[in-house]
Amino acid sequence: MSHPHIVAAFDKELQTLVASIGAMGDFAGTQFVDAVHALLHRELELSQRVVDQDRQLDALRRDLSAAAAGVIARRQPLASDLDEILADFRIVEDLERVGDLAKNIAKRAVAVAGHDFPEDIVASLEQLAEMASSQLKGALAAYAVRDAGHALAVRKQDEEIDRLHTSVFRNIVARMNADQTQVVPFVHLLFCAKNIERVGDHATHIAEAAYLLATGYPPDGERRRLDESSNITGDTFVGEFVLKP
Amino acid sequence: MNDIVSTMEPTPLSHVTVGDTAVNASTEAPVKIATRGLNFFYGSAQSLKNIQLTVAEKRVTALIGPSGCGKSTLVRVFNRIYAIYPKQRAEGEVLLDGVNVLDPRFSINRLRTKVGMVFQKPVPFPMSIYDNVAYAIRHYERLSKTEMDARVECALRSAAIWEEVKDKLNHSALGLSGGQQQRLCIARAVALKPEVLLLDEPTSALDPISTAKVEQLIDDLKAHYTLLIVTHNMQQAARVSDFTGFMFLGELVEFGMTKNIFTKPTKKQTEDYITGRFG
Repeated sequence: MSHPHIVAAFDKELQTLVASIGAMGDFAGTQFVDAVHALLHRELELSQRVVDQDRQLDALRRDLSAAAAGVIARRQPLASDLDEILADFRIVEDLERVGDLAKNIAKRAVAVAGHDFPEDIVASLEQLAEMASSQLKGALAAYAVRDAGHALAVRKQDEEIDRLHTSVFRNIVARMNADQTQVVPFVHLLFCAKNIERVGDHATHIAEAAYLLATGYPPDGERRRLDESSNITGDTFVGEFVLKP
Repeated sequence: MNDIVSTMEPTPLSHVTVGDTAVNASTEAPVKIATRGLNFFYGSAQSLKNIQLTVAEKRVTALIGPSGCGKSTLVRVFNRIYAIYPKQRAEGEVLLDGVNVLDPRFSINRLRTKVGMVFQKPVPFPMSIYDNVAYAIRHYERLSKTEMDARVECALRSAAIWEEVKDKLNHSALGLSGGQQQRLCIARAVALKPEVLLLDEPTSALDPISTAKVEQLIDDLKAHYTLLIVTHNMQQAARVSDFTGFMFLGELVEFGMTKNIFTKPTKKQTEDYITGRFG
């Protein structure tokens, strides 16, 4: 454990940043969960609230970025302190993007409000969102306490999200092929599924930053990216899947 | 010695302007010191020109600017150090709690119990640590040994050096490190229980660790004292001060809250200086 800074105000500034980022993360996570719930359960008031509240995340991004910049200007941080501040900048950007993705899902919830989706697709999307939400909470917890092991576990979990997203993607495309009167609402669902998968990616970035802060080094090796949705062609049927070679 | 302060009428200091700009120091804290039309001359050479400055009570005010701009001259007017040099003179007013301390009727000795000073180069007296702190007290007060011991300890604790010297108070102050000597000089200044502390580049001669300790000390001291600091280190000014004044060629170019001066200065000269484009 490192000693506190001689100037107590420096520690206080860093601790305030960490706490504020945690609060921003909680809010972004709630926006995401609410947006998915509004989408899958057709709650239009909730979706509008998510859209309206996104400006609070934008304001948090501005304020926390300014606070981090202030630490750089005043303290000229070096070594691990510099890693900390640069990681804080990245995490704030990731959380603001999570908010944007939630807002996008909420808007699409309005677009598809009049449609009934198959139960298995709703269930798989809920599962995908639950995994991404858990991923985000885990990453923020690893960041808050600088837990390298937990950060690595979160990073690995992204592979499961990628696999499930690929499966959901195939399923939706197959349903679109089967009933072309439902193409537009299913396209919205495809975008929402991709947004949920992207939330998982942002959570993984946060976990990687947490690992760096805990150990001083980035995680070993490239992260395995198992999302194969970009390889899926139009020759997909329910129950059968064709991939490009 | 006679102190004729009580015959001088104090001037209300609720609001003072800097040039055309209303200084917002008074909205943050009462004004402790205000200058009005302050000019200073080294012989025929004018080094301060119509300075209108406010220093907020129990806050830290920093003065920055290139060498020769008049920062140290201005600070030294506040305790009339120039008075020992016959060819140096100040014109205008320096109001301390509304009373003009440049008035010849205001006792210099009384002024220097209210306004303490710490210089760039630590200058401990060639005597023990204890006597360094007790020396000035003995000139102004008659204290018993017990009272003096308590006062010395209080001053050394205020300067965050008590734990390092409590077991060697009778050792020569010259044996202390540079950082310790500077903190001893701060203890010496606060021993007289001043209201204002003037710090003229207090960390320029110190290593980074000692600098950090003095900066932490400045943060602690502002709970009890009004501090005015001259510094060449802009990041230090940004770290420790609440208000900052930028000076150039004897003029106070810009003054305001530190966070505004270092993020959105209103004058191009200020911007050029703090971004290293001149100075």
